Amino acid sequence: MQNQYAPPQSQVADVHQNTGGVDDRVMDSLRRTRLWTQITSILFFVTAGITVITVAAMLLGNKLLGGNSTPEMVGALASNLLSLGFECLFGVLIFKYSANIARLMQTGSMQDLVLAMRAQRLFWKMFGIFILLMIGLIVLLFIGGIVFAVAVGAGAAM
Amino acid sequence: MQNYYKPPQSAVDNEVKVNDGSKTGVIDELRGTGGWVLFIAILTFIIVALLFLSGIIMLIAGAGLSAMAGPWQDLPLGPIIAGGAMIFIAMGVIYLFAGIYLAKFKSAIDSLVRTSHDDDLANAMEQQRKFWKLWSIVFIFSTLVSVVWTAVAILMPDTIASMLNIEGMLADIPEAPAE
Repeated sequence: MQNQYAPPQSQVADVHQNTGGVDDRVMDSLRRTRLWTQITSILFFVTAGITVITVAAMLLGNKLLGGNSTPEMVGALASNLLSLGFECLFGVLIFKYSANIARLMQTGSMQDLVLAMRAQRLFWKMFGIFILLMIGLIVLLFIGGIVFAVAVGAGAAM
Repeated sequence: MQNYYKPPQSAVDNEVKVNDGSKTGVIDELRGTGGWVLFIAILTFIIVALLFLSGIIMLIAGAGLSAMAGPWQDLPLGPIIAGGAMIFIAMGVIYLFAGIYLAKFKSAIDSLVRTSHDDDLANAMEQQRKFWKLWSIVFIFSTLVSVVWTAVAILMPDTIASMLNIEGMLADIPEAPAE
């Protein structure tokens, strides 16, 4: 029931416990998100480390075998370096998202929520571009395989 | 040009200004996120369908291969292929949940864009939290498996060969007749 005798209240931000208008449920969800995004960020860097070891092992193995750069070797090296680049990029982007959530937890300001959402948007955009790139590469390899098979078939028929 | 006749304005940072100004920023960022999330969600569902299909085909092929005569008869191919198929199907179930969380995140973003309501923002944040949690757990598991597998492959190559029964399989394959 509405209290007809309640004093008038202004709609100022400070009545909302320093959260600057950020809903408590949003704060709670993001607080619990941060742990997982931190883990994901660290795991991306661990994966990048494994990729570095793989590339080093490939280069060492190639050197021990005479140092001939075959097309397979170059292709494997290029794909590993591409993976390494994207793993580092994703690690940094998710780390930024976690850092922005941490800042939001301290300040509770809507501006920091915007920054956190911007970091997340950038991650999803880059991840989407990476997936599109991978699909494009698969399609190219598939077409290349067909063209190669047709050329070999034509060569054998002649 | 400055208007000298406009009424005075207070510089109070009131709730309406804070919510409208910054929440618009949040909504804009989430609107930009939505398209990519939908794209990944659709791809996830396609991958789920392919994983389920692969699992079913592996089960059928495994059963057929076990029944056929050949050099592989002495190998436990049925359980190996069934195990592989189960891994594919389990991965499909996990990806299905990831796709559902992403689709719900996108749906909550759409509602938020329409209504600008705090409930929709809270729902969007909750859905993305669920996704990140699932992805992190899967990522931890897959990283552990790949690290252990790589370590075993480097330190104990003989164990891997015997696990896969490569030597036995090679020995069982009859040599090609000399022309």
